[in-house]
Amino acid sequence: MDTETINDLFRRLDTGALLDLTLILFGTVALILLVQKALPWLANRLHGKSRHYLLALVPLLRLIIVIGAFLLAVPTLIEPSLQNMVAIFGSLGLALGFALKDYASSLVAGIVAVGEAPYRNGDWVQIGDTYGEVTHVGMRAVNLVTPDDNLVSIPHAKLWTEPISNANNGSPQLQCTADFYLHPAHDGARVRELLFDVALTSPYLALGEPIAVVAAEQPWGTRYRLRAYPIDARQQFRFATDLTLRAKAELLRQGFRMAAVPARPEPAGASG
Amino acid sequence: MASIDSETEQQGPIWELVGLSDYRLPSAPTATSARRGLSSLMRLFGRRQPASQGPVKTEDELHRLEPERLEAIISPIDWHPAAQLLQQALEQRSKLDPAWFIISPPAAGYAGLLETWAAQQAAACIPSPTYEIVAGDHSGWLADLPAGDAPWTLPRLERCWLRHPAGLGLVRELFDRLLSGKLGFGLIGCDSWAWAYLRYVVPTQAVRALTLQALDGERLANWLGQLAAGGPAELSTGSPTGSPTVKQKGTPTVTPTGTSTGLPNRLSVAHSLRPRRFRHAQSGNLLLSVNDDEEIGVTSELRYLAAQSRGNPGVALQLWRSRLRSEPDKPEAVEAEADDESDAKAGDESGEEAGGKTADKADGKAVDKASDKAGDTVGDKAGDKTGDRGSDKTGDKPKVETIWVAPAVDLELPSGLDEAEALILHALLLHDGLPTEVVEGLLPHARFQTHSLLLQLAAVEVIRSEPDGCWRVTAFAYAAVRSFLAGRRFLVDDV
Repeated sequence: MDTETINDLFRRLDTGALLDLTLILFGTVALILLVQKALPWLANRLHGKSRHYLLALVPLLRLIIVIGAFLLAVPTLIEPSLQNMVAIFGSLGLALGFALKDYASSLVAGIVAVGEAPYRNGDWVQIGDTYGEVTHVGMRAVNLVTPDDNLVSIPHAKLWTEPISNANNGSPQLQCTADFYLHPAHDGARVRELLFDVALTSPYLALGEPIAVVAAEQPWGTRYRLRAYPIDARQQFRFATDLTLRAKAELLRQGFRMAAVPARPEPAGASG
Repeated sequence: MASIDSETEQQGPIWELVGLSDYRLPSAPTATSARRGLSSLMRLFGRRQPASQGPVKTEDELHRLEPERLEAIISPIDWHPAAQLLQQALEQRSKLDPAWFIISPPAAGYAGLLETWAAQQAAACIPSPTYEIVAGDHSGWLADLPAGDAPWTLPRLERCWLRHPAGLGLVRELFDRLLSGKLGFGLIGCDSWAWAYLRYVVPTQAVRALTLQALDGERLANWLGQLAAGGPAELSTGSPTGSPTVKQKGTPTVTPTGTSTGLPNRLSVAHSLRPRRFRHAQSGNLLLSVNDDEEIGVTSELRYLAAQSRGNPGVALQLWRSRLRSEPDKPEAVEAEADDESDAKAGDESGEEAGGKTADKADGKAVDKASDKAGDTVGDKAGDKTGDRGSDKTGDKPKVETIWVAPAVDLELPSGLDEAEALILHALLLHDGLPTEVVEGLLPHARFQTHSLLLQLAAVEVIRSEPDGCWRVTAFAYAAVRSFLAGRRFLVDDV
């Protein structure tokens, strides 16, 4: 493709076209900034489902704005014929594929993330070893804030290779678990009732959501898992702490003994 | 369900016993709601809506009423008529019902209704257990419950539990005994928030839950009229329908009937017969008139008060009492009965139209006219004539006492309230108030933090410490607190 042919693909960039492009660019940036600031601002003043819906709208709206800007800018830059489009985008795709492979992969994964929504703003997810609340779904990466208040940026390309564990999946409900380890000689039914009441009387509990007590016998004692839902997913650590502390206090008050640590090995021949 | 019908067909029943699912919240007049919504929107953006006109009486010109005078103008709630209604309903109950539950919204005071019923029927009234009994050994308290066929009442079930693992046993055992029929028939009062929570603890669906129907604009106007007339409504028997009938003292169309039923009447008949007019301090509109010939419909202001208080009589009464004012130099200002009819009509309209029209008039010329008239009549004419109010006479007509009603204020919670405050407010509402040491023990925060937050909430008048030592959400803040908690997805009551 000689220089003249390439030049034919593009329109002549006169002052008017440059002005159009500048306006499109600034308009797009301004709109994206507005969406990224205003919707989270509003969402953080709401609670429950409306907060999640608003937060989840941010990446979708940004994608729509970017596509809109792109559709507006392309006819200003090139003659919008099929031949020209194929030539330009073919060259562009080739360049990106070789030079910015990972970046392009993350960009594409970002579009997939908006469509498939494996995580949305406000979700609590685990990606690799990182667990936290999704605070921003960008074009290239997703930002998580961990319980230790660290901001972690993870490229969307992880979508291709890593499992994404989403604790609440767009809903404000999120199950929390508190573990208790008791000496095996005790009245299990009484413990189950007591743990149920501990969850029922927690001020963080989302009433109406299920409460479950799961028991499992271990060589060193009995493990109880108390599962319940807080009113808001952001309360999960305070809720789990409240369950743990109040259950422990009530168990001790009623004379239950905690499992001994370190655990002793099971005597030979005791099993079965 | 039973209701108390008024003597005339123009007035609907004031107290009506209904199932929880039949409870209907009163709606605010559309124009008033829209205007207030616009005001709060403008406040959100830091702007204030300019007043369309100056008030007839500014706040500086008026004084809050002295407690004694307030007591004389608005007498305390008398539950005798409602207790008689309750008894009539109970006489038709199914013998299979182990108990009836009367659900009371916060501050509504239906426990007083049950206590009155117990006194009327000479039924046993079970005192609430202490918090130590609730969280500790409650076998003695349960053993003392009546076991015979005679009905009994427990007016405050909300005092029989705590949101604590050790605080649910008593209420569970109480329900077990009730449903097994061991306790005879019990009439049990319960706060609406506690009832909403207890459905997750005990089988509340197995018992009958009733409440008094919300006071809408009409009921509220009738009721406030009775209270302002200085005495309670009185029951008489023998209505055509066979249901009890209330003779409403002080309402515009019914003649006072004395105290034939022997119900306590705290004020003298002479005092209660005195005509009273309640005028809006901003617009001068007539809101309520008692012992008076004026035909007044239900104003949008009273409809709004009914909606603002969610039809809760206790909240409505406290809001209403807090708004009553008098002129400092004329604490019992009277106005001559010579007001022409247009005075009242300019300010007040009846029916659904009244809300819109009155609200519109508040910004329009009609109010100027009404205000001028009210101002002239009350401020000048009445003021002049009442210089020697003891001796003044205006022909044969009785003198009219004017009480000013300050504009309604919707309390807004401070913007900084967060989760910690929400937990405290929710705990207080669920238990219908708690003392400091108990609320500190129920919440996950450090005791000093909870104590500090209680004091902060009290400083902004969202809660207050009451004579029984319990912190409670104030009647003024209740609607805002309920909305705040509902917005954060906390459990709220059904009424």
